[in-house]
Formats: sequence, C-alpha cells, structure tokens
Amino acid sequence: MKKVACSLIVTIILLALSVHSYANVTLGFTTSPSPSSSSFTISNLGGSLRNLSFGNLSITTASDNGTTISELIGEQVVLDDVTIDLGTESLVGMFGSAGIYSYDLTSLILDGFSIVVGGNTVFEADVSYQTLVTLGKSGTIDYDVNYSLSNLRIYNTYISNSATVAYLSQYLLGADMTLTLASDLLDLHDGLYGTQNINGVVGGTAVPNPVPEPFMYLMMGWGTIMLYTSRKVNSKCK
Amino acid sequence: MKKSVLASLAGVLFMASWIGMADASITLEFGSGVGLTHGRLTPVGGITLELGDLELKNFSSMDPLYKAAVDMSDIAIDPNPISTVAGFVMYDAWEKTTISGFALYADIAGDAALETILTGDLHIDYLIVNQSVGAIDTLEIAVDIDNIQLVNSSLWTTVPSILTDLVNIGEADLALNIVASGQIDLNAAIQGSNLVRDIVVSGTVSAVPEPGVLALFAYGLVVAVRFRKQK
Repeated sequence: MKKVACSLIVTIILLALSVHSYANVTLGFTTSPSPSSSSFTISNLGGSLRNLSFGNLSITTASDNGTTISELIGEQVVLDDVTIDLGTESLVGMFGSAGIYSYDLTSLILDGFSIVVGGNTVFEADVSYQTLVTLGKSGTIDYDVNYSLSNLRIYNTYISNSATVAYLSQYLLGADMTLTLASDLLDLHDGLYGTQNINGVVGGTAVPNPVPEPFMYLMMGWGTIMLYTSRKVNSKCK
Repeated sequence: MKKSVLASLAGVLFMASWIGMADASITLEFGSGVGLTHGRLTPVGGITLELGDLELKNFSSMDPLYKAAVDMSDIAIDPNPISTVAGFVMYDAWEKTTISGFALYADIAGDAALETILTGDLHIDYLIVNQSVGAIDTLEIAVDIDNIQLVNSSLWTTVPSILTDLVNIGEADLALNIVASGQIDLNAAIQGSNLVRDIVVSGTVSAVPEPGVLALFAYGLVVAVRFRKQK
C-alpha cells in the first residue's frame, strides 16, 4: 500500500512540475505594423457564409520563463482564412441593448497555423477553431481553454538558435490559442449582415498545453492499478 | 417655404452622407509593439491596467506614421462588477489621466527622438472581461477621445491627411481588446488583486460622428426650419 501511495505522490508532484514548467512559455502577436493592408478582413462569401482573413501578423513577444526568444520577435505568424456561418448565430446575452453573439467557425484547418522566419516556415500546426463571440466592435475567438493547435511540427533546418528550437519544442504536445478582433468602424454583428467589408486589428496569444494528454493519465492510472494488484496478489501468496 | 425646407434637408442629407463616406477611412489601428513591453494588470495603486508600449499598425515602412508610438493613460478598474451576463463581467473603468490621455509620437524632426504629434483627451467607461480576454469601450455609448489636436505640426513638411482629418472632426471612438497570455483568468486577477504580467493589446480609433453629434445636427436643422417659418 505504501508503494501505491508513493507512486501517487510522485505522480502528483510530476503533474505539478509539468504545469509549472509550461506556465511561463508564451507567444504573443498582433497585426503587423507593415506592410499596408495588414488588417483583418471579413468579407461576404454569399448566403450565410463570411470569410475571415487574419491579415499579416507579427510576433510581439516570445518568452520562455522570462527569456526572450529574439529570433522570433517581429517574425510572421500566418493563420489561414476561416469561414463564419451566420446560420449558427446564437444570442448569448445582452448588456443593455448590446447583444453578445456567438458563431461557429470552420472546425479543423490542416496546417492552418505557421510561424515564418525569414521567409521560411519553421513551425506548423493544425488549427481547430470553435467559436467567434462578438460584443460591439470586439470579437473573440476561443477565449476558453481548448487546445486549438495540434499536430505540431518544427522545421529546424531554418532555425539558427538552439534556444528557439527548445522554446518551440514545448508546444509539441499541443497549444491553446486565443484571438481578439477590434473592428475599425463597424459593430461586428451589424457588419456581418452588411455589404461593407469589416477591417480591424488582431491580437493573439498561444501557450503550450499545460497538462499531459489524456492517454498519459490512462497509462499512469493503469500502472497504479497494476502495482496495487500485484501487491495484493503477493500478500495473499505469503 | 416648402422649397427652402426641402433644399436644406437635401443639403443636410448630402453633408451627412459625405461626412459618413469621408469617415470610413479615418481610422488608426494600433496594438502591442514588436519586441516591446506588453501590457499588465497590477494591484499597485488600485487595480490598474497598464497598456505597455503600443505602436500604429498597417502603415508601409515609407509612411511617416510607420510604427509611430501610441501612448495611452493607465486605466483604473473598480474590482466590484457592475453586472454579469453569460460569463461576461462588466467593470467600471476610467482613465487615470484624462487631459492628453491619448497621444501619438513619431520622429518627425529627424533627430532619432520621438516628438509628440497628436493629443486627445481620453474618456474610458468600462471593461468587459471573459476568462483571459477583455474589451474596453467596444460598445458605442459615448465619445472616447475628444479635443484632438496636432502638436509640433510645424516640424512636418506635410502633415499626414489622416491626422488633419482626425483633428477636423475633433472626436473619435475607441475600441480596445486585451488578451492575457497563459490562460490567466482576468476576472480572478481583478477580483483577487493579482498581478498579470503579459497582456497583448489591440485597438482602433475611428473618427465617427457620435449619435449625440448627429442629434445636435438634427436639432440645428429643426431650429433653422422654424426660423425660416417665422420669417
């Protein structure tokens, strides 16, 4: 029984350490200062479908436990376009006369996220978006914790600094990405039903998945049960 | 009499549509600067949102406003929520500095130092937070920046038209988003007086006549019509 307790304690400590080790690894990005026309654009695809193009995005911060990964600062984040279906609109709530609206987004975009350094893709991932929530001129994509980046790959041929590889490696288990949209002129909900394109600025963050995958939990649970069972069998044999 | 009223109405409609069309391009986009300090939420001196180093977005590198610095007053937040709707929590928020609380800086003297090029008085009303994201004044309730003025305009060879247009209208609407890195719950941080270090900021400033301005315009029209009638 002591062994089981010990293994449980070790497991909990490992989990705590794994959460801690990822806690200060962040990637932040916004609309690029250059070139022009780098804003996001929402355009009408006809019917109830709208296309959201994120424009040009630059990395504003890449931090690994307080250390800046300078090779990535100012480099590009490329997000593939997303389709918004107005047919999935739901009114989540009201602040006075202003509605909070939610829309479903394209579910999975293969290779929909990449980091480009000096014109070369150094990092790529599949993206699973869930919802766009609008409130006046503000929009938020996936504000809750859902691991929107998966199947992550590093192409280290184009990376000169080992610290950059170590930093990106921490994202390999998956990552959570949150995006915000600030519209220039139009209320987002009204604009989605209008004829004009909607433009504005994107802000975003991506952080590594802080907990082991469910499969890891399963393995650890299975190991603990096996240990406990073998102890019981051994004690009966004695 | 009717002809003159119709003529003035047509004139007003023309003016209003012209103003609306002209305003469509008078927007400034800005956000956290590349490689510069991000925003943070700090409990020092009350709950305060510092926006960090901001820069203008979407200008070509040849444009004098390329990477111009945006300076905005720190924002004070009352940690007692005003209301909560579907997980979105609204807080009273206000600018710590009103007069010239919004300012733009660029190197227009060519001396490698930044000069103030534009100022405006800032009026922040509220912050709405859901988990790691927040929106400031994104609902058009009131004018967010007024008394917009050019500063050091004599240093320009030609003042960029977007700045003169902003000054001519004199007031603007602000929309500001924040997103905290690391899945940090901003509600918990505000209500628990916790420090949040890394906040990405993005926002827009657009010179749009507010409903109040349009109402004044309509009122002026009514007065003009009455005056014509009395005559």
